[in-house]
Amino acid sequence: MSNAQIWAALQQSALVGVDRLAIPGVWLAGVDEAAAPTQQALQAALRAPAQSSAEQLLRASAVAAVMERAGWTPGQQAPQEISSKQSIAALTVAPPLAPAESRAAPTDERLQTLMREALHEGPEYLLEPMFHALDQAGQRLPHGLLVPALEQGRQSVELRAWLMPVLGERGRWLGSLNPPWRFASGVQERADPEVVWQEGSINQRVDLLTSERQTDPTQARARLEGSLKELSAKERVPMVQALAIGLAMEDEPLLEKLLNDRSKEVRESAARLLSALPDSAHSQRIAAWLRAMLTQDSKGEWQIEPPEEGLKDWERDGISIKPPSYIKGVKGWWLQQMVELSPLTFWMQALDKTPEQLWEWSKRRDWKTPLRQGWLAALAYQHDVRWLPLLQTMERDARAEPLLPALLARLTPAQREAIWRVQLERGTGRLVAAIEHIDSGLPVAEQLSPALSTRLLDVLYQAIGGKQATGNWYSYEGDHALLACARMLHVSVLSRLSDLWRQPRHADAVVPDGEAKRPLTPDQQDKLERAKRRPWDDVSILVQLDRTVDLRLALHAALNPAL
Amino acid sequence: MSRVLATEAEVLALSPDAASSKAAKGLQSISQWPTTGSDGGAVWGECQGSGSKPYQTQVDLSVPAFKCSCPSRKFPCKHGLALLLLRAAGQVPEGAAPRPQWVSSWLDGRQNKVEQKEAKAAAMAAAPPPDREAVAKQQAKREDKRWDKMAAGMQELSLWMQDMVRNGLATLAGDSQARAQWSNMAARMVDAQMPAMSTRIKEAWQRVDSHPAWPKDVLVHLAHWQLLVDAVQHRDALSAEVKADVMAALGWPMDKADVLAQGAPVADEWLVVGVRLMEREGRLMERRVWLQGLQTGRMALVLDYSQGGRGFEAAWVAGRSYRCSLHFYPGKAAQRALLVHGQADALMEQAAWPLPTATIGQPLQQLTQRIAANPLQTVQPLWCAQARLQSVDGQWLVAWPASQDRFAPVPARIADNDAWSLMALTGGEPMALFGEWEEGGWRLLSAWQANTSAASAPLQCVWLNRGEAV
Repeated sequence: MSNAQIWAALQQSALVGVDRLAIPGVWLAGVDEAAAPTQQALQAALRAPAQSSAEQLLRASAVAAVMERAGWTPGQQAPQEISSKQSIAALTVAPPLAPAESRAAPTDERLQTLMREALHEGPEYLLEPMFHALDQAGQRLPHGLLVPALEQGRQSVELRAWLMPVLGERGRWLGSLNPPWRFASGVQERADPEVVWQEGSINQRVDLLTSERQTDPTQARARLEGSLKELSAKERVPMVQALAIGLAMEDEPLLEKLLNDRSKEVRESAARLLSALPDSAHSQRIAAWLRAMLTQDSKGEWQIEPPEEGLKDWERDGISIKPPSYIKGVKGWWLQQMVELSPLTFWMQALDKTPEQLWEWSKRRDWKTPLRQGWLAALAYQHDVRWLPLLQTMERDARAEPLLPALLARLTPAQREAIWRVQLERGTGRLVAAIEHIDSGLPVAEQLSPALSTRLLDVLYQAIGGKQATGNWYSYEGDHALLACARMLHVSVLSRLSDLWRQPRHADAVVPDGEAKRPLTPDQQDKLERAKRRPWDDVSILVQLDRTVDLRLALHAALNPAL
Repeated sequence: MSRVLATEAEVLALSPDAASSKAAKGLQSISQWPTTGSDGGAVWGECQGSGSKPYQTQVDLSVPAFKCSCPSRKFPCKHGLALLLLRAAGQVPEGAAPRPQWVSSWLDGRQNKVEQKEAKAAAMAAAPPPDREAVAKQQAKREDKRWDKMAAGMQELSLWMQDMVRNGLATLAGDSQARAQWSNMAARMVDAQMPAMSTRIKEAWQRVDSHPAWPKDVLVHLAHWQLLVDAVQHRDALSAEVKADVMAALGWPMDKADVLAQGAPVADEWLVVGVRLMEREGRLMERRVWLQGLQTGRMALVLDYSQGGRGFEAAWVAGRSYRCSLHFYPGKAAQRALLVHGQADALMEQAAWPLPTATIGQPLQQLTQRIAANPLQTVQPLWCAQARLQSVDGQWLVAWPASQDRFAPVPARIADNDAWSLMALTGGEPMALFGEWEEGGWRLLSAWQANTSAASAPLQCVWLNRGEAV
């Protein structure tokens, strides 16, 4: 008979009811004087005068429960929530420790606070440049920020590439412990490409192919070629399109083969890729057919005229002969398809014209629309930067807009900035649009040069530094443009930018007498009010502006101690 | 700048809730404040709100007291907090301009009130003392009446418990009437002036049918109440200390004046090792501040309440230490304490002192002694040196050092996010943990680590459970 036995019996009795399962009489009989004092106390409680056996039970339970509580030691009973015995066994040995860090982390408290706010409250666009700046300085995230950073990485796959280098040993260690953060443990990165290729999801396989094209295009092509037979059409399309990365003449034989693929989408993708290779046989064939349509008149001006009948050979090279029912003129339709698949170089060489001259030439042609649509469509694949100035002049053309970022990405920063400078000089009224252009063309986590930043800021002050704004600044676009400035401008001009909203604002100027006599109409009043409003009058925008500027300045100060 | 309320942590400790802290942080841009100013005794500013007229916000630093022309019911409001945050960030000019009229009139009004109050107190003191014996007699009569009322209530509770045990606890799970009976009994306890008993019954009901071993849990609760039933019945035989423990357990609080009048205050450097905020019924916030005495080794619990978003009187900042005197409530193994009157200002002037490792001592032995001395207190403070945290099957466990390289698991109550933050900060290295121990579970409130690896190096706070306060 022990305390534990008595306590268990009391519990059992209370569970089913003391009337049904009475407390064993032997414990009520007498106190065993040889027993431990605790047991004597328990039995004394049982034997104390009581109103009922139920009260006896409660009183003894009280003693037992207090003794149990007072005598508690860790690990006495297994936690209820943990079922597997293996886990308990694993617990009795020391948990693994995190390896030592090789990189330093910023220690400045204010910077850490700003980084924490950016991680918790956004804006999200701050995170990539923040991680990038740390990585550039050879540093890592402070340990206190790893949890929010890993949570962000869990939610955004795009962010992970920027986050991984600054996680440090501690971040990777956490990734190995918490399943939702497994991406951080480096397991995926080290995974055998063969295994991913054989067993991965379609996305993982395309990712593998894409990254392999960047480092070893030949191997990636061989990998794709070797597996073509097992791939469904749905899988083949994104994989063939992945060949666009690092595309070279070595890819021609495979692409030529793919022109005979069962899937129409694959055939089209192959034809487009071949058109980006001006020396490919495919490009030569297209060029030959087009050359046959071109003639020079007596004045030496080029004329173009598609043939009356389509050629059977066209189909294999990606040009449909039978048009869908909604197409009216079949000849124009043939021409447009063929222009789309032609190397843009062909036009510039054959007609000896610049892109601007070609555009001008097409204006007076019967086939203006198919020509222009075809060129623009070709640009989407061929990224020929010689066409950039032409596209810039077509600013408000919805067709030109989406082509710009890919073309700008091919330029050096200096070339890009030369283009943007021209846009900046078009006046304050179009500044919002110009900033939008710059924003869409600037690669993630990069900044403008000090020179262009200064110029942009000058124009910005002209536009909104005064009492009345020029341009539509009290709008979603205005907010967006100003936030883009806070993000893109060189760090050396940031404090001048923030003066815009941090300098105390001047009281409203006195209205000249002449105007005061003539009261404004409600419409005019409204317009005047709106011209006075600035993006930072919206508190949520103000918070984002402040955070962006403060974080960038603090990062710069902490990571460039020489300054 | 004077040292009062000079850091963000101190200011935010005055905040009535998390929403106010967040809102105040959103008002931290100086451009939202057309005017601000301060001097040694007060801070003021005008904040541009949604209306055309800016709000006039002012803080009397000596108390601190807040006033704002905004319509918020929260106290202090976000404007008051934001103003102090701005000041803590060094963005409010000091002494640059004289107090505006609206500030000085408020402060003068306050000063007048204080003087009137003092004059009244002086008049009271000057008046002839009342008949002490008569007063004591009256009070004893009132107390007897309350004890009788409580005893009757406890008798009712006892019969109800006996019925339950007679029928078997297992029947509770399927009994459709049980819920009504339990909440009825909880209400009866309020009628009998035992609010803490009522809370206990409501909490115990949550246990019924909640997990496989619930009948034992419920029996432990009932057994605990039986202790109180017996204690009330034999109240005349109890020592003054045990009686005080019983009263505290039943929710009969001692008058603060009586606490201050009893015994000598304990002076020490008190380190705030845990702060827990709990929301009670009717917009009432309960704040439990656990203090570790660095010299005496004593543990103290300062319990206070904030009604309807009114904020707390004293700004205890977790992780900091304060040189001050505490009056302990009477009782065996007394823990609850009061700050000696008028020392609230002193609270704001201390730095964070490290915790000597030796202070932690023998936590299990201390726990046993405390429970043996006062088994009526269910929530106990508990330290563990050299502990580690581990997640097993999604449950957080503290690995308690048992013997050489071996650990015993203790289930920990800690938010997932907090636990991972702690892992991130410590990298799995052993640390000292503090928390509230209750029913075999351990609610973690703070973690401490030495800066150096020396065995006797003092401990610095590395993590604090901020609950919902921040």
